[in-house]
This record gives sequence, structure tokens and C-alpha cells, in this order.
Amino acid sequence: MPEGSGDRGTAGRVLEPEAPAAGLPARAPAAPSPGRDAALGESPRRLWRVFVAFVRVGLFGFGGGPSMIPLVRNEAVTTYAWLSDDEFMEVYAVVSSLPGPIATNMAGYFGWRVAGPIGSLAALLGLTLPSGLAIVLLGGLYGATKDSAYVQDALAGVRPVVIALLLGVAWSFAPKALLGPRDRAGRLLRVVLAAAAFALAAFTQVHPVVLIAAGAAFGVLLLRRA
Amino acid sequence: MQAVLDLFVSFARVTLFGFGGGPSMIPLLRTEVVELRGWLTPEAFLDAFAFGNSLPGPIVTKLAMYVGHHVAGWPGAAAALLGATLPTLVLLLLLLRLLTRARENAALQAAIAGVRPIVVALLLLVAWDFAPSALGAVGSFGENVPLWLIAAGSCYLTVRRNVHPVPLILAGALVGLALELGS
Repeated sequence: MPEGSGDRGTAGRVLEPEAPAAGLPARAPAAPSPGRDAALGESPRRLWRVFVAFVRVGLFGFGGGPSMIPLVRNEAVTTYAWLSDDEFMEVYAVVSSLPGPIATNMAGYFGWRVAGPIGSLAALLGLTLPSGLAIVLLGGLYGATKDSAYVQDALAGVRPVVIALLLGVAWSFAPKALLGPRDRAGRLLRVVLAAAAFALAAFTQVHPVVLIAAGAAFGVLLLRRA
Repeated sequence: MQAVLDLFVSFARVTLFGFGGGPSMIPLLRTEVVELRGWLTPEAFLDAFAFGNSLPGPIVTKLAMYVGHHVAGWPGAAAALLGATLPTLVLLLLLLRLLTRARENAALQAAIAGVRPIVVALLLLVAWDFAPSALGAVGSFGENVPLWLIAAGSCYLTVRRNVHPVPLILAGALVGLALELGS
């Protein structure tokens, strides 16, 4: 695959520096700031930035890969604006329908988009090395920390936060995914589809891959507009 | 050398056949590491898993490095890590590339519109699966009020106040320590 960062033809939109607009009020601090990662080129600095972004995800993600989705989104969409929420949803759908660890695969893909093959490697290593080294180097300490009340207490406090973060991402995707364009019928269909998918997966163990395929078929049959 | 190669193959096999993200691969991984290869005893595997869970980061790659290092030192750790990550990443890159090429296709657009509601459902599902360990059993709501309060408070802060996830996670850890939630 040639020129990784331009891979999706979106380089112009996402990676170009923002034109300084004279007289415009400063962006609200909470808003995403596209362009923060702009004008770095294929520089070591950009690689470093990808690496650090995923080190952050790996260090603060407790509960395995899927619990890191909010953190990955925060780095890729909110902090660095490497891609839009729309594209993030697509990538998440593709990653969930393929085998492999979810956060790790996402890291590898975003790294590729931002800085090519080396970026991909930087993101992968950033995500996996700190905790991997920790388990190898601290493995012998396990006996000593096994019953550590402190670790258990801290984790018990972190887990409800992870739930909240996941709900937060679902919440922010919902307007686009469920409400979408103006058509009322389509809106109802989409809400029913999401509810049915959730119920099926939660109560009957239908596999996510099946749901994604069903959603795609459903879209082609019912949501397609002339 | 043979061990290093075996590690790569084993972890590639686990991730290539494991759908649904890292945590769902643990049973597969256990079969490979404990039963097929005999690299760890069942007890040692369980210990490594429990210890891995108290560390941050993706669980499968953590265990890959642990097992790899245990079997064949640092080269083993590297081989296991690459086996666990590279094959599925290549698949993903190829598929997304195809998707990008066909982007303007109307049927694909419609398919994506149909997949988006599923994405929301899947995110809710991750939260749902995680809930028993995070919020406690349904029957014991009374004892778990602090956990529910942490979840509700963080929900408000992340959705309404746009608070960054990292301070929320740190605050959760501090509250957990202060209230001794784990005991």
C-alpha cells in the first residue's frame, strides 16, 4: 500500500493545517480541534505523537481491549482529529466483524493512516509494550500483590467509570447512527434495529459478526434511497 | 528457534480465530497455551490472567508477551506479540482499503447506514457484558450503591461536561481506594 497517510483520500481534509481565520473567536476548549496534528508531515515527531497517544490508551485502559474504545476515540477523534466520528464508527464495525484484538487492531490502522507502516508499528508498540513489559517484569511479584487490597480497591472504583465512558461513546454516536437524516420511517427502523440487535446479543448470544452482517443487509434492503 | 516459531504460530492462530475482541479469546488462548502446547499449567495460566487483569492495556497482547517470555525469553515475547497482532492487522488493512475504494457506491453507503445502529448496540453490549463485574450482581444493588453513583457521576461528566477519560479513570481509582470498594 503506497503513501499511508493519504490512504483514504482524506489527507486533505483531516491532515491539512487549518487556515488561520482572522477575526474568528477562539474555539471552545471542549470542542475537537482539527489541525492540532497538522503540518507535522511524515516526521519523527508525528511517529512519536502516534506512539504516545497509544501509550496513553494502553496505560489508562482497564478491562481489556473493548473497554479502551472510549480512550481510542478520544485520541483519534477528539484530541488529534485523525478522523471523524462517522469514520470511527465504520472502522469499529469493520474491526468487530474481523477476528483479532479490537483496540490493538484499531491502533494499527490509525497508526497506518497517520504515518504509514512505521506509524502502524509505533501505534501497536505504544499500546502493547508498556503493559506487556510490566507483566513480564512484574510477573514474579504476582504472589506478593495477589491479595493486595489496594489494587482491588482501585480497580473496583475504575470499573464503573469504564461503563460510563462506554455509554458516553454510544451516546455521542447515537444522533448520527439512529436519528440520521430527516426521514421519519428510516429513523424508526434504525432505532428498532439497534434495540433488536442489542436484545439479541445480550440475551441469546448471537455473535456480533452476524449482527453487523444483518445490519448491512438491512441497510441495503430498507435504508437505500434513490 | 523452534519455540519462537511455535509461539508466533500459536498466537496468530488464537487471534485469527478469535472474533469479538481480546477478552473473548481467553478460552481459545487457554486451550492453546495450557492444553495443546503445555507451556503453562492451568494454575499458572489463571494466575497470569488474574495478574494481567489488574494491569492496564489489552489482555491478549499482555498474555502473549508473558507466555512468550516464559517459554523463550525476549525473542519469544517478541514473536508472541507479533503473532498476536500482525496477521489480523494485515487483514484489517486490506479490508478497509477495499471499503475505501468502493466508498461512493450507493449500496455500500446504504449498508453503512444499516451498520451504524448496530455499532451503537455493540457499544452498549460491551458495557452490558462488563456491568456485572463493574456494578455487582443485580440482586445486591443495596451494597453497590457507591459503584452505581460512580458510574452515574462519570456518565454526567463525560456526556455533559466533556471531561477527558483519563482524569475520570484516575478519580475512580482514588474513590475506590478511599472507600475501600474492593473489599
